[in-house]
Amino acid sequence: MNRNQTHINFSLQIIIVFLFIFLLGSGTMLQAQSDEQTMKAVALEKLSLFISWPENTPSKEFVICVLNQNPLGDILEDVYKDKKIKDKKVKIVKIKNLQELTECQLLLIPTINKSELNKVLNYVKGKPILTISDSEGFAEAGCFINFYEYENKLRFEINQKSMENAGFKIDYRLLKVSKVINPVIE
Amino acid sequence: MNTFKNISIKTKLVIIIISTSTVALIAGLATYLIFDMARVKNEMKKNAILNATIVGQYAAAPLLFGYKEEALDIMSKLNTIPSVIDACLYSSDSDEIFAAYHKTTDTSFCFPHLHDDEALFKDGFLHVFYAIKYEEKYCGTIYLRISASAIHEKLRNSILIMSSLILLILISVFFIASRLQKLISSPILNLAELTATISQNQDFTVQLKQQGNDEVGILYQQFNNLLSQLLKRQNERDKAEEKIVKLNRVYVVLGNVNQAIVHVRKKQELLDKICQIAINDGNFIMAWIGIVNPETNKVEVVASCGKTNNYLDNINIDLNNTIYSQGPTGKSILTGKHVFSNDIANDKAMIPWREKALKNGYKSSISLPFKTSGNLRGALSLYSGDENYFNETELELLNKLAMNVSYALEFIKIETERKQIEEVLKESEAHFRYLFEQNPAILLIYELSSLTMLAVNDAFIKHYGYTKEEILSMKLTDLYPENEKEAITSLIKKLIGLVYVGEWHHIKKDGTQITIEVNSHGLSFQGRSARIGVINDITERKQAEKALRESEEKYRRIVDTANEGIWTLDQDTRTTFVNARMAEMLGYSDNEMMIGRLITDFMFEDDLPDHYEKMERRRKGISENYERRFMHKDGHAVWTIVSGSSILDDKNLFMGTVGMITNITNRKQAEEEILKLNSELENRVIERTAQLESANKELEAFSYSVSHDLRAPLRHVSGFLELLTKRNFEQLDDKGKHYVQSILEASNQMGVLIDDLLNFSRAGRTEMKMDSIDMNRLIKDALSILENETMGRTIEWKLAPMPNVYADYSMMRQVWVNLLGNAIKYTRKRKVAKIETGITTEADEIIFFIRDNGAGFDMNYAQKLFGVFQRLHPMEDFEGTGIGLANVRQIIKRHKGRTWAEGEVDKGATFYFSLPNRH
Repeated sequence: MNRNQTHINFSLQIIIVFLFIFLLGSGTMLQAQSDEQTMKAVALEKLSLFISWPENTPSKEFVICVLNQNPLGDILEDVYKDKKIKDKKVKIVKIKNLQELTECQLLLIPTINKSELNKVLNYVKGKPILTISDSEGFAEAGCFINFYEYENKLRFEINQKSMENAGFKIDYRLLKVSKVINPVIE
Repeated sequence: MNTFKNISIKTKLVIIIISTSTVALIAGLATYLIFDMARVKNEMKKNAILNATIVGQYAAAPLLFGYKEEALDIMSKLNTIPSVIDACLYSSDSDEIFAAYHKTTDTSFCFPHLHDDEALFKDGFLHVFYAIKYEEKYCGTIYLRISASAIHEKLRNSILIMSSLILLILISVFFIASRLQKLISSPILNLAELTATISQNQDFTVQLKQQGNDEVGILYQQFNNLLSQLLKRQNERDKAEEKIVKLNRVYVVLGNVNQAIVHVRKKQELLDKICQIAINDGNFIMAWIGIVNPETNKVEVVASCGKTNNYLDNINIDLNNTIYSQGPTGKSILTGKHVFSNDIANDKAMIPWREKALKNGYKSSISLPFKTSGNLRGALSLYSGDENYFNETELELLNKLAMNVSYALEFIKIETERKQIEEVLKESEAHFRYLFEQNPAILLIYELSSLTMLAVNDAFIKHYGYTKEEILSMKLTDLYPENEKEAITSLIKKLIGLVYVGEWHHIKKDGTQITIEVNSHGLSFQGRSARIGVINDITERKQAEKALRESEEKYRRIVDTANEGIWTLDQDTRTTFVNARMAEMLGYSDNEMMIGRLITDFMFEDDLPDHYEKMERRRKGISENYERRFMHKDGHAVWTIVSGSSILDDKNLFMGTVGMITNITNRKQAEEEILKLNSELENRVIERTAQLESANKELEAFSYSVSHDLRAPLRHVSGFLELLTKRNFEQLDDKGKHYVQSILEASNQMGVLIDDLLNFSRAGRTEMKMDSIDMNRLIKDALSILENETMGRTIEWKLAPMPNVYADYSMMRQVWVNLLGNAIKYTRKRKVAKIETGITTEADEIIFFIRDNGAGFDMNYAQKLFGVFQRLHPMEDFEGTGIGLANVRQIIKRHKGRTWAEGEVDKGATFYFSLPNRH
């Protein structure tokens, strides 16, 4: 090998390394992204622990409706394949529009515009459906629970009033660890 | 445990109570504490779990959602529980610490691994693990580390309080116990004390006071029983002991009396001893032995001991008297059996002696009779201070005693008799032995048949020289010389039973033969028939006889052949014997004619007075020699010297005289002649002396005049010579000077000689003035005269002090001058002249000497020294005239002394002169 070859080899090596890192990173990012979704999915179960639905409808399954092809939907199926929420088997229903909304306990709202949000929210008003979103301001708008990220951690904000108005009971412990929008002062 | 046994009941009880209480208290309170502690711990656990639950619930949500901040926040609320030191949360999906809490800034605590639910006390902390479940979902585990120090402190406090409490309680228990223990201990102690007292004092009469009916009470009861039993037994034993003691005493008495009997051989001693034993060993107050006097038939006191006072005086046990013979003593003697009175005070038989007896304290008595085969009767009486002292058992022994005493007395009697016989026998034997052994006469005993020597006495041994052993192994014939043996043997055969006197010869051990006279007779000796002979050694007698005969012969011959006459007279001066010579001397042919006649018949009348005088002296026993004139038969005188001596008998009484008479008629004549001659001689001597004296006087005059006359011309010579010398000495030549000198010397010499001669002659003539003179001063004077001679000389003087003498002063001085002068002169050649004077005092003279260490002289010529003009040294050596010593001799001679000298050539000389010692 002559000196030139080595030089060429070395550069190649560097490039390969950088590529690797990038891929890894992106993979991580991707992973991270998918991780985030997974975490949200898992959180659902956790959340539901602290929440009691208005009428413990004796439904055999815990239906989670996922609106508008929320990527969360796929993950949910994975996560809750074997897991139970509220001691019920989890059924994931993907819906495109509200009319398809039948019996469900939990509704995952994706990032939609405000008017649509209102529509949805109005639709589910009075129904014992826990609305969960992961878009900013949605909790103020009326979503019961909204995921957000704070300091690299998945947090959620709870619209307590709305929830309680809807007949949901929220364990204070949950409230304690979440950002409470519209707190009910007692 | 042993020590515990030895503590007093009181203490034991108290200790038991206190220890029981202590145990109970401690056990109780400890149990309480333990339970309390358990409870507290439980509480704490519960509390902790509760806290864990609460906080855990709070932390459930954060755990579930993984919100660390919130979790931390919740954990921090744990600071409200001060006991929680550290806490942490474990998330549900991993063992890692989710959130931790530390009370203090010390964050060093290492949280343990995740654990199942538990609440454990470990290392002083309570560790609580609590699985947080929400809605049956496991969210995570909360761990709390809670400090248990509170518990410990609480425990400590509790213990402290408990201990103080226990202590207080125990103290009170102690007091209460001390009080209450008395209920049990005091009766026991009381019992113990009493028991001690009882056993110490051996007093079983004590009875205990009843104390209740409990076990101690029963003990008391039984104890009292025991005491009374013991008391009973003690009393019984005491009684028995008394009996034994009494019996023992009697045994001891018996034993000792037996001992005494064995050892004591004298009657009185034995009886005394028996009484003593009775008192000392038998414990009786008084004992006495009485023997019946066969003449008076009264009992006499032969021995007594103990408190007799005057009881035994006049006791008057008269066996003839009906009353006085009925006392114990009398009755026992009469009946031969023992009699006792156990109550003297009330005994009728003792009435005569009662008062005295009671005064002495005799309460009971006994009399034990004894008797011997002779007519010795008596009794031993014993007195005791107790009533009813004598009873069966003792009586037996006492009777034995009496029997033994009787035997003893019997035995003593026999013994005494035997001894007496023995004594007599011994005495006679001794007599015989003495007679035989000590007899001064020689005694021998021989057996008749065998002639063996059986005995010889000391005199024999001494005389013959044999030892007893030797002689006893010999036969009689061995003592005889060979030529007599047969004769004596045959003689003895004939002598059986006869007395014999005879003369024989014996041979001593050393072989000398002696003549003996034997006087013998037969006797029985040691069972054999023998003869005893008294030997008289007559050897000397025989010899004496022979000597006497011979001497008689000798004397007869002497007398007959003596040159002297021998005339013996009896007390009346009658002639008893004259020898032939005497008769012849007086002209008698036959001495018969003189025998029986008075000696005076043969004497001249003039001599008779003197004769009678002499006879008187003779009668007085005085012997003497004297002259005596006897008358010859013819009538002429015969001159004799009589040596007359008295004849005295053995009593020194005058028996007569014997005279040895020597005829000195011839001698007498010769004497007369001598006398005549003597007187002639005297006359001649007187003549001669006168002649000598006159001659002497002439000589003196001559020498005086000679010397005087000689002097004159000499004086001239020397005088003129001096003048010549003075005047013309220088003019002379040497020879001339020499001639002059010689002449001077010669003339001087002559002068000296003449002087000396003069002195000498003077000394011969001068009268002596005798006086007591001091020799010392004399010598000093002499020395001062000799001053010139001593000047410049080294002389060692040794002048001994001298006494005073009786002599002529100037003459003696002259002597000293001469002698000292000589000494000085003849020591001139010595460096140091030693001149010594001294004296020796004899009985009749004083010897003076002067010694020098000068030239000395040859002793061979000593005689010449003192001669006139005699000199032993040449003039060149020592000058001198030779008259000095002659002078000395003459002077000393006139003083009736002697002069002599000793000397050795060159060794010095010593000159001696003596003067009569006037003392």
